[in-house]
Amino acid sequence: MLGERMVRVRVPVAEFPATEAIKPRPLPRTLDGTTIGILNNQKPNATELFSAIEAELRRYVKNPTFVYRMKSPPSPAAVADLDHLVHVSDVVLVGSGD
Amino acid sequence: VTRTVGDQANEPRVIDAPESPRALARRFYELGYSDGLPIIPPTDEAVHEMLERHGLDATLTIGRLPPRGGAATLDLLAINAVMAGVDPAAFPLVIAAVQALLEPEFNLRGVQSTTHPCSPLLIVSGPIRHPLRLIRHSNALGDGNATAATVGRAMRFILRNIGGATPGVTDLVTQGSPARAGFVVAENEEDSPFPPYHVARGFTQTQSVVTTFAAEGPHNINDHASNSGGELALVIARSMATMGTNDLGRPNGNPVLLLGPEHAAVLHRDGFTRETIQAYLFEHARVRIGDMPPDLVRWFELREDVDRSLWTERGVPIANRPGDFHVLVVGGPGRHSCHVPSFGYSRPVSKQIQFKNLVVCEC
Repeated sequence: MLGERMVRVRVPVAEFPATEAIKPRPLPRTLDGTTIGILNNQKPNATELFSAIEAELRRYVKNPTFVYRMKSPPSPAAVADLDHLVHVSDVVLVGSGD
Repeated sequence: VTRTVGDQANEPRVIDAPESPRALARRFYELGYSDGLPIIPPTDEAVHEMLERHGLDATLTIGRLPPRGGAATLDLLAINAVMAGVDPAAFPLVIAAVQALLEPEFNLRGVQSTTHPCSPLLIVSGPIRHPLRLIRHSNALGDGNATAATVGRAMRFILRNIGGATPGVTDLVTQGSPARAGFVVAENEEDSPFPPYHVARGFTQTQSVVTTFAAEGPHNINDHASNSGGELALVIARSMATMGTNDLGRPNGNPVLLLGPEHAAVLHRDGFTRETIQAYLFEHARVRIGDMPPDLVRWFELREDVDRSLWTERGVPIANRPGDFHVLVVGGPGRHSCHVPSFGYSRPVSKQIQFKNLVVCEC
């Protein structure tokens, strides 16, 4: 509004640390013979969901290897688990079931 | 027009905002800084007063708040406290509470990002309740206490503005709770037959302490009927144990029982201590497995973080040990108590409230 009186005030919001930009690896042309990493949040519905996904993938993919890493529901995934999945997997599926 | 002045890392960030209270509140709300209610403008002078009262260094950082990792400098804590209307006399309570939230066992990351409606409950015990005018009898958990309302509001501002918890984005809470707007209460030590709560947690009687819980809102327990401590304890236990509570079977259920003074007196008269109440609740505040529908039983059986060795013929407990029931007296006359369920994945943390230049709260 024209002529509105102003007051100089402090900004209450923190400057958040920048997140590192990540360039994902290109996806493989086929999942045949690949290692598929799965990271889930250990809740029963997540386990059920990924069991169903694994069963479906086994119908269509030749000789897949599945590697599971769990995190406990209210905690972040351990860095070592993330590193392990990145190291051994060709693709990683991440999800949670609540 | 909002103008950002000062973009260097160590330079305080400021904006020019409308002076009119209504327009200022609207501007801060639109920027996502506030809850839409009127605020106290966080001017340099107001922030300086908040810090200066206690001789605090604005540049000190007490930690980074999840989920986005903003640095909780005393300067930023003071800005948010000013906005919320906190009297400078109560600022050390805000600092101590944030220190408690930052302890790993509180699991603030989980609290800030879960779908569950938990939010920090601050229980204040010790002598500071009086100068801060936190102690009340009737309506202890309700409206009308300036310190409780403003400190509670400041906590939400801090969690959102410094922690970066934005509902629907980084804070996935499904429904939320009125407790998120501020949940601060003082123990009624004077009408309690039990030692002060902070003494039970290892502090001395003369220390002032804030204990933070990841808590739901309070659930009333009405009992005008029981004439014995034993019957009253049973009513309380059965009121606390429900199938939908997040404490049921979880690794860190820490339910809080806020006894009204009259209920506390009945229990005490009939021989209950805090410890025997805790032991009773551990045995009796359970949900019978036979009462649960099959899907719920199966869900618990599938969970790897559930300690099924604690299940008995009385059922599934809402805490894994007697000491995880937190019992204290709050409120005034009347035959009511209340139960505050917890997140189930967080442990309460107590911190001494350190006052350098204590003065009586002007609120």
